[in-house]
Amino acid sequence: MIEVHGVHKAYGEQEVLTGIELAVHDGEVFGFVGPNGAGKSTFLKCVLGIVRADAGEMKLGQGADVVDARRRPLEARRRIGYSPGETSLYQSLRADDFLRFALAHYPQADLAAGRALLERFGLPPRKRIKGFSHGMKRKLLLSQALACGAPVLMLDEPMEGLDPDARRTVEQLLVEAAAQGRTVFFSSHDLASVERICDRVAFLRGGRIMETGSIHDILARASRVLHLTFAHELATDKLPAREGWSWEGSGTRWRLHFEEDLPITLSRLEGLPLVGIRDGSGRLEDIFESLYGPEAPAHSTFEEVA
Amino acid sequence: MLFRQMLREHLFLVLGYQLLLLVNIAAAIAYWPELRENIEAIPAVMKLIPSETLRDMVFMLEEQGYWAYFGIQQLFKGGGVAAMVAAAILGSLLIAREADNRTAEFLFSRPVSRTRLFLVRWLSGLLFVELPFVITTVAAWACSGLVDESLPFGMVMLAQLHLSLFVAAVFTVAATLSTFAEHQLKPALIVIGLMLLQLAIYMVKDLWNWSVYKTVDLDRLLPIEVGIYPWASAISFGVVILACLGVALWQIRRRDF
Repeated sequence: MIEVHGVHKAYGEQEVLTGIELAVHDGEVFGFVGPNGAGKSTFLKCVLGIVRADAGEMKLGQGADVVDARRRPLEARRRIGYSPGETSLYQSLRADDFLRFALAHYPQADLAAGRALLERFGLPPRKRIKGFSHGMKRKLLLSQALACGAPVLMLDEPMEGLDPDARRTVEQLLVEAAAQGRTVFFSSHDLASVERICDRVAFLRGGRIMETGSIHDILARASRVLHLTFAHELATDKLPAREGWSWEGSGTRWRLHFEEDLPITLSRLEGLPLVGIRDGSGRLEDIFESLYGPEAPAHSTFEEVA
Repeated sequence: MLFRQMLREHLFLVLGYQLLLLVNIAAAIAYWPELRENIEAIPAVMKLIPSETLRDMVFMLEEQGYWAYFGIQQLFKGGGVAAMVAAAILGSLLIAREADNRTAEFLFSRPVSRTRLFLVRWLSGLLFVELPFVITTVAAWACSGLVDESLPFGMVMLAQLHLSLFVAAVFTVAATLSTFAEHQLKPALIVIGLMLLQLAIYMVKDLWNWSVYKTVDLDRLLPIEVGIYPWASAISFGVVILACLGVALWQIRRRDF
């Protein structure tokens, strides 16, 4: 579990995290979503003690074995398998040597499991890291995080740089880890993966959590959306206005948020010079777009947007 | 594991430094017989030496013979210049390299306390700087017989200890600057620049008392032969090392990576 209350972090005048509140349970896969610069990586680093939080409480562990991460950062790190967002690694090391170095200080590390993960990812254990691609380094980092035996996994952008096959493998591994009772917490821009494997998700913006909830509830509460492409550019005043409708977009590409049933909306669109329609209702990507897109209000909560 | 990682990172640098020290002293020892034969001619050429400090060194060479030559070549030049440069570079890399190469995030996410991590790296780095220096001194002492010279081992080791403390102080200053730095070689450039300035000051006899090189020159080393160890200088090196370690540990604990 991870339990966080009122975590603040500022660099000089710039507030990066403003009162983060979170509770992630044992065996849960939790997604942490937000645009670049929202504070996702800073939050992960605060929990690990790589960056010092200015205020707040952070506890983590499994079952009754819970530690205060601010007061006992070393004990907390023993309970966290971490894969950083940054893939810069020690270039001269071979993959197997890196794995041994990474796992050396974890009391429950399983080197054999780590080597099995290298094999599963197709990583050559005797090859030096300087010959690895970005995606291979990502897999190596994930392997050590998964094999360290820690009850909490904190992964910063674990899907970044991975091909679709590898993404599916990672998704499967994270679900398996959660099934073993481990807490899986990861930040990601890959909303499709978040939607597929997360039990719950938190949306972060400007260092503040805008919404936390189960994927199911969020998708159910989300506005219904149609992506429309017109044959020629249309101005806002040429678009039909109805109660419960709102338009976003410009030129030939518009997004229509609506509340009534889909067939009714479609029938009301007849007569417009449409060349393409795509139903985007109930997709996390559209929710993300609503929260963080150019039309999103600066400090809205999810409820306000939805 | 932390030590092994340090060794892997610095192995070639340390081997290169060791080779440099050995080549330097081997050439110096090989040249000694020729110099010994012509030592009486030294006063004649002393007037040609522009620096009064260097003239003093040459004068001591004439007076003390091989012990002064050994002190200049291996201890003052090998320790005060070559080992000093190595200490500045290795100290500089200690933490700043991790920040510069963006490996700090990974390193500091391991379940190891920052104090332990710093101290293991500091001790490893110190070993990499000091061990080649000591090996070279012992090798030079052992090879002295090849040019029909001999020095008491205890005396050589005491002088070596004094220079080792000096080098450790330089290393620790660079390591401390490294805990603040983002660029891996910036602390090295600062330390080497300052030490070269100190060496330049030392070469001006009116100013040489203001140079740290005064603490490791022949005036301090040669009296070891008669049992006078430069305690005051050695204690001051110890104070610098402890003070810098205190600052470095304070900084490493509070730094965000």
